[in-house]
Amino acid sequence: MTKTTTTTTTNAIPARRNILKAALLGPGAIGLRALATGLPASFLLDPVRTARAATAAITAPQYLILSLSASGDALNCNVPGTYDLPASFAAGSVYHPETPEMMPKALKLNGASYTAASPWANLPQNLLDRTVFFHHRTQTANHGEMERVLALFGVSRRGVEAPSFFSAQLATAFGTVQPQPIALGGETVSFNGRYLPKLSPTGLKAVLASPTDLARDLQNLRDGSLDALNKLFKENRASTKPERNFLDQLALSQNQFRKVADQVSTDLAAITADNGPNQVLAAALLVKLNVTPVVTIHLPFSGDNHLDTNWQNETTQTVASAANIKLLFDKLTAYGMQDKVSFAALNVFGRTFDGVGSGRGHNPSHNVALMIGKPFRGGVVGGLLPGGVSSDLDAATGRAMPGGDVAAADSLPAVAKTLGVGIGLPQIVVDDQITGGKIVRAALA
Amino acid sequence: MIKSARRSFGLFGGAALALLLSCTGQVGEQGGGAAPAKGAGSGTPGGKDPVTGKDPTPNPPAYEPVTPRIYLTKVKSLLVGLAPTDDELAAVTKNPNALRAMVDAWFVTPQAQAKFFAFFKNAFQQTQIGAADLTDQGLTRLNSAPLMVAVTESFARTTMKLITDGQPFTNVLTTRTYMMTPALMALYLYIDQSLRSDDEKRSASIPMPDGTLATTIKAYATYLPPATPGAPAGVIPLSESLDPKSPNFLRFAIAQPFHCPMPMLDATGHAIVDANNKLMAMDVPYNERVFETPEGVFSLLFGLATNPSASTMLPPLPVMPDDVQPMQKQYYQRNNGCIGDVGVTLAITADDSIWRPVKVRAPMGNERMVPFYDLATLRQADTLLVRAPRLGFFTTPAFFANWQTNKSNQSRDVMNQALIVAIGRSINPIDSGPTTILDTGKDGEHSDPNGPCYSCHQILDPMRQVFAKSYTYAYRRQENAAQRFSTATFKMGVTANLESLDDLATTLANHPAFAAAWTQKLCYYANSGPCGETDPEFQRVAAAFKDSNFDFHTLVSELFSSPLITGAKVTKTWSDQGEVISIARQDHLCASLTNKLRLPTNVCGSIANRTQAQIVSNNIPADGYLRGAEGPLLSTDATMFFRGAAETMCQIAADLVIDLTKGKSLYTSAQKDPAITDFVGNIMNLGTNDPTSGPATKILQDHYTAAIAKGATPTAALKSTFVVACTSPTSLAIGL
Repeated sequence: MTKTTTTTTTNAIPARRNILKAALLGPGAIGLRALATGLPASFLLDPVRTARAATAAITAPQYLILSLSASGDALNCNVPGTYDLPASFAAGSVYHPETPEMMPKALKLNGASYTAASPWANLPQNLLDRTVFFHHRTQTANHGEMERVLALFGVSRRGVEAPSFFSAQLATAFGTVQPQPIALGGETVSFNGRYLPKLSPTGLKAVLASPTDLARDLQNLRDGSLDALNKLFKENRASTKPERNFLDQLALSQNQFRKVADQVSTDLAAITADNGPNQVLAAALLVKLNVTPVVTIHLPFSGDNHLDTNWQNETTQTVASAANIKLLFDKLTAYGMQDKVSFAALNVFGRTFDGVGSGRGHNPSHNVALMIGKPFRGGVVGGLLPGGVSSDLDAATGRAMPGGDVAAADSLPAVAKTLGVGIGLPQIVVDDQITGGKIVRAALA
Repeated sequence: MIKSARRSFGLFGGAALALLLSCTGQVGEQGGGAAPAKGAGSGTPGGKDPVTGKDPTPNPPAYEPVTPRIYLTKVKSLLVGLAPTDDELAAVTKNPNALRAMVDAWFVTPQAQAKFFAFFKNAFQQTQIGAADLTDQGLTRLNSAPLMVAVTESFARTTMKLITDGQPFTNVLTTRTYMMTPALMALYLYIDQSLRSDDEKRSASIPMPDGTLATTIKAYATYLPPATPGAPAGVIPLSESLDPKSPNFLRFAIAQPFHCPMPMLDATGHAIVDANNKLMAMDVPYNERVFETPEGVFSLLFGLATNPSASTMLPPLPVMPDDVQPMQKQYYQRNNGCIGDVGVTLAITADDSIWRPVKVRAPMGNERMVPFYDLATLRQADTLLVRAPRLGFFTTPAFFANWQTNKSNQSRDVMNQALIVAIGRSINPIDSGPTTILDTGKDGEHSDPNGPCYSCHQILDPMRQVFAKSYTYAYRRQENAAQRFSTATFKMGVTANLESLDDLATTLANHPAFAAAWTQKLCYYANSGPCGETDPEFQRVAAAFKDSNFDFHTLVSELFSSPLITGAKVTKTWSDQGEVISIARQDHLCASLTNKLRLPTNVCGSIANRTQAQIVSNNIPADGYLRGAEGPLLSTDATMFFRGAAETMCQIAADLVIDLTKGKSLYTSAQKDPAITDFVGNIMNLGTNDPTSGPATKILQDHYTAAIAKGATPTAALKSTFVVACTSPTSLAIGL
């Protein structure tokens, strides 16, 4: 008898099909049951837990201002945890800019001593004590995968991007005007599978200016006329549910717009451009107005700096962005919201540590996320290993620990989970949505 | 040579990929498992929403047929930006198949051509760039708006020409004949004649009349003072400027002298400062700048005198006395005001913005090439000789400006984007396996063989080498033999050796995914979301496109009269994804207002008020594209900012057509009743036979009356009434 040998190619197709098949027809055929019933697989696996997640209360919600970068900034290269390295790191394997503005400087995070580039050390101590530098890896070196990073590479159920998950959850707690995040510059984000428009500070300023006198009266009249048209079309034109939903959405957006425009006053005058300082001012204003729970902005820390001679861009942008973080919290303090808003930064990937004076390459294996705010305990989570890669870590202590209970490969969802719990989401909700990684309690106040 | 298709690409579009990606987490959670594609339907897939915790909804959403008045309005708005007529609605209501002939006829209208022109600019990824994005290609400070427009419009115009000429749409990959202006031709030549190697060595290779190639260039911007005071400055005819035998060769006359701020000196030679300790300066004119780089000369030709070369005779610096304080030494040094950029008006004329088809090819035998500055010759030319290959959409300066590369990226990006445009496929790490083990961040061969980066490099790197063979990282012609004679292989659905970019073009043109990819792009355009590539109706339309020898007109006619777009009958696409109602994004809203109001230029492109322009451009989302994304960037939601900006847009339009103080008004308050009737039928898309037409007219009439009662003038009242019509849901939506 002749034995038949099956050759498996390295191509993805069989692998994918096998994955799908296994998922659909595996133990309990949960996949098929989910398909058949329309219920999430997690519900079928643990209906009680899922039901609890749906009803869990948010007790101390935080607004979130989130800086995103698909450039893969060098935020990871000059922060605490990348200095004072042990002898296991070969000399010259980790380079920092030698520009005067980026000279290493001692700083304390919640009493613990570290070294970092001066812009970080120059932040006010009260801010540093709330600042977490979370070393992790996103496992991609591809600029185009920011969305997949935000969706945690499939670990976020249904491909929901983390900012949208946070926003949808927090919207109810805050009663915000809209549940969607606002993308205020920088990267594209989506909500419920739809791309959100990218807005700009000056665009917001212009559109939110309210008319006065007769123009205002006419606007009110128009709103009434449009309400009447909406009603007419809903009753006599729209024949499908999506058509009726769109009419509702348009009517709602009209009311939302008027409500927000009415509240805007002199705060808008401070907005003069679309750069970092103006993004943080506009973001602070949007949360002050309770427009949205999550605003995404873009604070650069180097850009895509392959050819950054002597790391000039890295220097200039890090100095500016650290200053803008301070500006944000100064503004929030002026609004009395410094304890109600958290800031975070997440990049598609980090950058390499080598290449003195000639820029940096992509680093899928080490990245640093920032989390700053009242819910966070200042410190360093995780760490750097020789070769420029992030370490596994211990969820309880947050320390880098090879073989720790958070594998480096799971550190991205750990970032998202920790951030989610930090901004007030119940653990059960976070665990239900983000199926990998662990909450690093050491990062939480 | 194409070997064989290993599998059907139709099964492998974005939807299938999304399905597989979602499987990484919890398979089957939404009854089908596919993560919602960006821009996809509003019908929420079933299952208890873990994000909102809301009650389950039916999955898939029950199909509800779309009425003829809704889908006819949608299709006509998409294609021509006009309201359907009563006759058209009656015909489609009586026989839905009548729509096919209407689509056929609409496609050739100027309005439809304008809309597809905008579509092609995006679809071929030729927009979303600014002047700074041409830096790699040698222009650090392009100062010519017409040239920038030519850069971004050329390929869309080329595509329109191909379609008009009845050529197969696959020629968008292989064509060497581009629609160009003489200015754009000069740019192509400039890029070809200013070299920059992969190791950053720059040189010039400029054809001379005797057939030699010059490695240097020297040009002058010269001010010729008028013969008598008050008379215009002297001129140098362009023919002399471009004649190598003329003493004025490469000497261009400018209308004003250059200026140099110089310190005012006292009798002892010390700089004088004012009461605030600020230097007191005076302008010293000088008449000529010299330029000795190709970029300096090109910039000069197109309106910008940049930092001159060292051989320019600048006004002499004052002698610094010995006792000058250290802080004041700067006053005696050259300042940027003296040598900074100055806008100039030189050789460009309206002729240089005239479009015509130009064959772009390599020189053969002893054919003489034209130097980039020879606009006089270019204005007459129908062939352009360049040494780097130029073919298809993927070698245009605009495409390269979108997808710049460098020593780390090594043309991967541009290759991947070419795949996305041509066949709708992007290379992702998952394409080669599910492993999550990663490398240490090194590229290519240094990647961990067990990691997805390595796998990705295995597919992409052999493929992108076809660009590296032809172009340096700065998109100049490749002269490095090691690169030119390297091997490149296409490995995606089909396998082919890529000796040149011609092979890439042919491989993509013959690729089994081509027809589906372009059907899908139009699905996105029409539905703001993807069609299901396994939908038999989708496959029928894609096959009809292919069977017509890739006739784009056929594709449009088949697709826009298909239930994939109309929703008149159930399809797998509509069953799976539901009906999408989208806001009218910038291109749609602007075209619709422009066409309905019969404005001579696009209403959005001619907003004079800067704040208003900013409101519109920042808050009414435009169609776009993203790096690495197979689907386009389409925002569909009616956010409050969209609502606010649409109101501004409609106010702008009202000011252009109602009670104008100059020119003829489309609407007058003296004839407000016919105006309101037109608002309902033309602006709001409600024909006289529409059951909502009468009530809508009454709402507008009541609005006008109430506005007058509030103290508005008849003009203000009619404008406000127009804004109501213009911001009506039926005006601001696609699919309502």
